[in-house]
Amino acid sequence: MIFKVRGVLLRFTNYENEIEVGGATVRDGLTALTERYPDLAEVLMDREGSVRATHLIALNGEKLTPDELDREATEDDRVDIVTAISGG
Amino acid sequence: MPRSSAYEVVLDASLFTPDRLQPTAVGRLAFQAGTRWLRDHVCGHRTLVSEHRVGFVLWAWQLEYDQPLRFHDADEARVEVRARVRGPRASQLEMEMTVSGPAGVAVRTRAASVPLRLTGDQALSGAPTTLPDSFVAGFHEDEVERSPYLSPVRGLLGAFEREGERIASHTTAFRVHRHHCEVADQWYWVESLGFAGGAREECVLRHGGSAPELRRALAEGIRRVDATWLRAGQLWDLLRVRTTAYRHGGGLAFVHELGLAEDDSGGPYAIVVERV
Repeated sequence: MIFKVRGVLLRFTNYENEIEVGGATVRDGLTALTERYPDLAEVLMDREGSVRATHLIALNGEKLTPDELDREATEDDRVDIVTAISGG
Repeated sequence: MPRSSAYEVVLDASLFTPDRLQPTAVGRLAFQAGTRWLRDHVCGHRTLVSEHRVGFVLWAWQLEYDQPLRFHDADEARVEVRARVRGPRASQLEMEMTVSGPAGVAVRTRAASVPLRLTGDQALSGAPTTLPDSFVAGFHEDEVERSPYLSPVRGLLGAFEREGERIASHTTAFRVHRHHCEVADQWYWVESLGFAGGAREECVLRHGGSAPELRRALAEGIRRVDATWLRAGQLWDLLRVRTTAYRHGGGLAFVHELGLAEDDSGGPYAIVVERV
């Protein structure tokens, strides 16, 4: 699957905005992604390893709830990670 | 009496169009003024973010030009700013600023922000909240207003459609680059005023031949801006501005809807209304 990373998250992926990772589900893909970019894991995940509520995960444009991260994903699927709100 | 911060700013040529302060320059002065008021009277912005984990997102802004102030009029201008907590549950922070020159108040702005409870991560991500009691306690009684600020933007759009006449429409595209962003790598709201202004000029360039009255937007300048921000443009987002020009009540109005170029069905990121 291909992860699309935007905005404030780019600096945690060394400014790669399209990242191809393996895995059978979106959750597998997230694990592979955060293993590759440990700094991203600190921003994206809470202490329990769940995606923080301030970030949205979408599979081919469909927003997923935390319970839906086990959805299957193929190598052509697109997963967007969007930070809902940042504030300075 | 509500407390104010007042100070002089030195005027340089980059702040001006041929006949007035640039809207983007006013926006930058307003953001600086609001930050200064917070530092002077309640709590510095940096401290608010790093220690209290509270951030702000601007959702509405107004600019109104009043008396003339041109580059050749003065070496400096006087900035005055006040702030209020607004809303029944202290859900908004409002900042009002004036910039005055030799002829009096040149521009007035009003900004309404909503607070975020920051999660503490390096991305400064957060979720909407109300202002913490400890923060509100720093405001005087006459700096707290129970009624919320209401943006006029939706009402204006309805009025233009009902009572006005569409003259032209145009779409431009742009990408959010880092020099358009603030510390969290999302667009600095002032830059979206610049994107809207650029889209207006493209509209005039494209349609000024068939609708010469559009050129009033450049010849006479903008007298008022009302804007609202609904979502944040982020670093490297490819965005588009859909601009519609209306004839309305003897005046001219430009409505700019800023959103993702690739429609995600999430609605516009911002709406900027400029009136001539």
